[in-house]
Amino acid sequence: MSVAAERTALLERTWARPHGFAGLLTDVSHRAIGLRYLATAGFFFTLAGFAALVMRVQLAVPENELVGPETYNQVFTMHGLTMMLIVAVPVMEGLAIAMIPLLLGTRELAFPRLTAYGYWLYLAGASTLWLGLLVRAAPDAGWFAYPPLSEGRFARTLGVDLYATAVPMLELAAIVAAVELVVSILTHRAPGMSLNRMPLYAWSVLVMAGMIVIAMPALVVDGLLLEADRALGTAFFDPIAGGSPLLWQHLFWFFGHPEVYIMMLPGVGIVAMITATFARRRTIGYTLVAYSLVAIGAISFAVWAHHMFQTSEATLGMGLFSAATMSIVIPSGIIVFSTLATLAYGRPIWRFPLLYVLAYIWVFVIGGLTGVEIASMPFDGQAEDTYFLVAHFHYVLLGSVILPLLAGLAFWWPKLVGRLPNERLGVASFVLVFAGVNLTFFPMHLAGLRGMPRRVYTYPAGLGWDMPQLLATLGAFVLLVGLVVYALSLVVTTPAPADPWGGPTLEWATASPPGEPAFLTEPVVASPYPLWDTPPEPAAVGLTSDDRRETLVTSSWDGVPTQRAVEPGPTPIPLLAAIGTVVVFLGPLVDPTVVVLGLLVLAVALFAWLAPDRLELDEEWLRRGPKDAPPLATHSADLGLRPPAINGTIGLLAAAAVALFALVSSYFYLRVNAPRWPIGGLPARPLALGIAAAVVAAAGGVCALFSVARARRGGRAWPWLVAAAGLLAAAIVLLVVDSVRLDYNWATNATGSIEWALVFFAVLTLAAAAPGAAVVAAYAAAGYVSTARRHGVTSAALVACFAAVTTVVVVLVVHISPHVL
Amino acid sequence: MSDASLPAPVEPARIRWLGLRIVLPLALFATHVVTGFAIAAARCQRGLLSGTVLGADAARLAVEGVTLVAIALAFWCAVSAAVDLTRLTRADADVADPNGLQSFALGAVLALSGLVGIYLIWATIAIKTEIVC
Repeated sequence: MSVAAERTALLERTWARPHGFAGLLTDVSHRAIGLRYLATAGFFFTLAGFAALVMRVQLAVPENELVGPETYNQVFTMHGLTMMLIVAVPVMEGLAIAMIPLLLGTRELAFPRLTAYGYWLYLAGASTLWLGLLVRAAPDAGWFAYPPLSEGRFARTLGVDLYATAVPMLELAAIVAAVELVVSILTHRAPGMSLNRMPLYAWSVLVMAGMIVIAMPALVVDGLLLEADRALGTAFFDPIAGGSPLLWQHLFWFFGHPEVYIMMLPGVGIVAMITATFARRRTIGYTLVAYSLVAIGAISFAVWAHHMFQTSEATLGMGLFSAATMSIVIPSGIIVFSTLATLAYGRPIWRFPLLYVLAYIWVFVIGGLTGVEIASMPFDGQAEDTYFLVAHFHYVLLGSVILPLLAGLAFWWPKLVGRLPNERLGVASFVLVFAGVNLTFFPMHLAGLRGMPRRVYTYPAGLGWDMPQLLATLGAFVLLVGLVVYALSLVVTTPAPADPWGGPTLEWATASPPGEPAFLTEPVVASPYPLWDTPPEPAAVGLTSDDRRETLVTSSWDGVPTQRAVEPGPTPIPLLAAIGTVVVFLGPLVDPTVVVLGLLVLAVALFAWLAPDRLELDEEWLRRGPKDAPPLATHSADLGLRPPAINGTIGLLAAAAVALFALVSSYFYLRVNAPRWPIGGLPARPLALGIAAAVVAAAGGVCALFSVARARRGGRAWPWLVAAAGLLAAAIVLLVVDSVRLDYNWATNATGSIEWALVFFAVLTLAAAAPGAAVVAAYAAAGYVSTARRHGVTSAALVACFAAVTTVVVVLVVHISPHVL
Repeated sequence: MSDASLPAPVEPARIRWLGLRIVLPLALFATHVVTGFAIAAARCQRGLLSGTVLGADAARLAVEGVTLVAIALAFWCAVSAAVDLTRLTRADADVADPNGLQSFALGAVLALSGLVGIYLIWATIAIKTEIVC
């Protein structure tokens, strides 16, 4: 056997994936998890599609009684929920998880176990919602579950409880996958791939994932507050007790509008990749498209209130949201014109993924134009809650999510499964899908303009709604046939060569399907189109070991190799951690004591997850590796390098910070809208214990920082970590004592509810930080910490400081602000 | 290709406050929308800023003031980025901007500032014409 063949065989053994049932439970490779995401999302897409057909058949003719109003409510709620939260976001994350490492020229994502954990959590959350429908207890208050309709007084079934617990679970899954993607894109690119040389798809996924980290914690908070209202009798959304249903809407749409762009932006990236490949030219305006992606991501966070134009919020404020919404047309227009210009100035080869790009332009532009219309408050007043809106958002979502997704799956099918889709069936599917989309949703504009409200299970004849609804139903069946033909085009396939389309980016330098690992040597790139400009050559030979799972870590801005990361192999730990998390979320619906069991399982799983490998104490293991290889990421702190693990911790803490921000904003929103604060003449909280808790927690944070300083100088970090753990635990005790000695609780009124929620959040962060610091202290005492290897100490300190800051903020808001503001 | 073809650590010409200038336009945009909304809400829900200043509605004037500050900052971002970009294009590219990332980042500042500027001008129309509550 030649040296090259031996090396290949060794690499394949090193990166081998597990098979069989055990493999199903333990595989953490990005391709396996990505494909699972796609398959699971496809399954739920089918279910949601059937829910849509039930609605269409029901509305095909007036005064139809095929399904009753209760069933109809459950069906449209599940359709919306599934498409928005179970299909669109996970399918985009799944495709990114499968494809991004190939586009970036790396062998694996930064945190394979986190990828698997996110998937299991997603599967559990999605299944929970649909199992509810099987027992006729699905959520039935719309996908946005507005209070008071979703409050316990009006929605007495289990459905909304399932919504309020399963949705946060789904969001948590999305957040961890997003952190994974952000860190991977920023640290695991091929050498030479500076940010301005990243494929546009990677840009779109980077922005999408960043948005998820910022947007989704708001819905986690919102869902949990709703469940608290329903199960614990709190009053966040109950106006009788000082709460506000509009608070739900603010939190929901702070998540909900970015959600649209979270789903849309990867579609833009997919379209850019397909257009450049088939037009045989570089994307015109690559730079402007990258800027536009960032701009859309940022703007989308300041437009949420356009969903609330018809509420009682201040008109001038709403005018600003209207202006902000309209400014999104500029980057959106740049993206559309870039696609058109690339096609116009290229030499397009009209394969069917590119046909879907044409469909995207048509459908997305129509959806965008109606979006500009309803961004205007007077028009919105006419169109609000009519079928015009249904038409608008289906054009936007089908145009920017589903059509690019259909294009992207066909385009990357060779890399996903190693097969080339059937062109004839693909073209036929394009014709049917395009006709079906327009026939289904265009008539809805007319129905809406004629005043037909949405979410009605039937309607009287003779109001001009009959024909649009009948056409829409016919269109839905055409769309169904188109999607079936599309699915067939992915089944009736031929083996794919490595680069069937002549693509410019690194995924086309791998086999179809990619081997394990996809890249035997890390490619070096010098442009966004490396296969067109400089065909890849085995450049970085020798930078990573062949006999253990190593990936190259590169600098975030310039893509210069700085470290090697040792990736974990197959393990059941993510599954165990997901089981613990699911029990924590769903336990209260069965028996609150079950939560303790869930926490126990979660703690064991996290302990196993974060435990360092004993091998890391072995000098020979540390030194192993090729000559001139960069240092191991876990052992390079003395060189001033930051391992990806620290970035991951920062990402998760950023999500937690948004949750804190959501709670603090909720406090002030309720306070500003209450005639008197505290509501009901409640006494302001006594200062002594609150301030003591803040001081003690801050001291804990300072001790954690000292532990980092000691580790940096080669000293003993563990005594400082033990002190930090002790102080953080003491802060928990102080906060708990302060709360339980009050003569009112969370159920008294909205003041009590939001104060307790803030204090609970502080206790939660302290309860995560204190044991974390204690465990890292134990490992530090056992010799696992050195000047080079101190990321555990740094991570523990980051979490401890976050808990300390959270406690200080909560005390400032809950204890001190009523005295001074 | 040998290891020598690996990109060397890049040490481009240092551009001051580049990170800040990338974030600033986006922060300005979000801050303007949220501050404007908060001022209007404070007026309509709590009766704050309900008087007049020199005959002008105090709440409207406050939002206009915030808008002017935002326009000034966005203008500074755009102009400073344009100046730096011009300087960079005149310099030796291999030294000042070996992989093009500096120009890319400055272009982002310019584009994002311009976009925020357009929003702010558009918002001025809304501020002038909308009733406050």
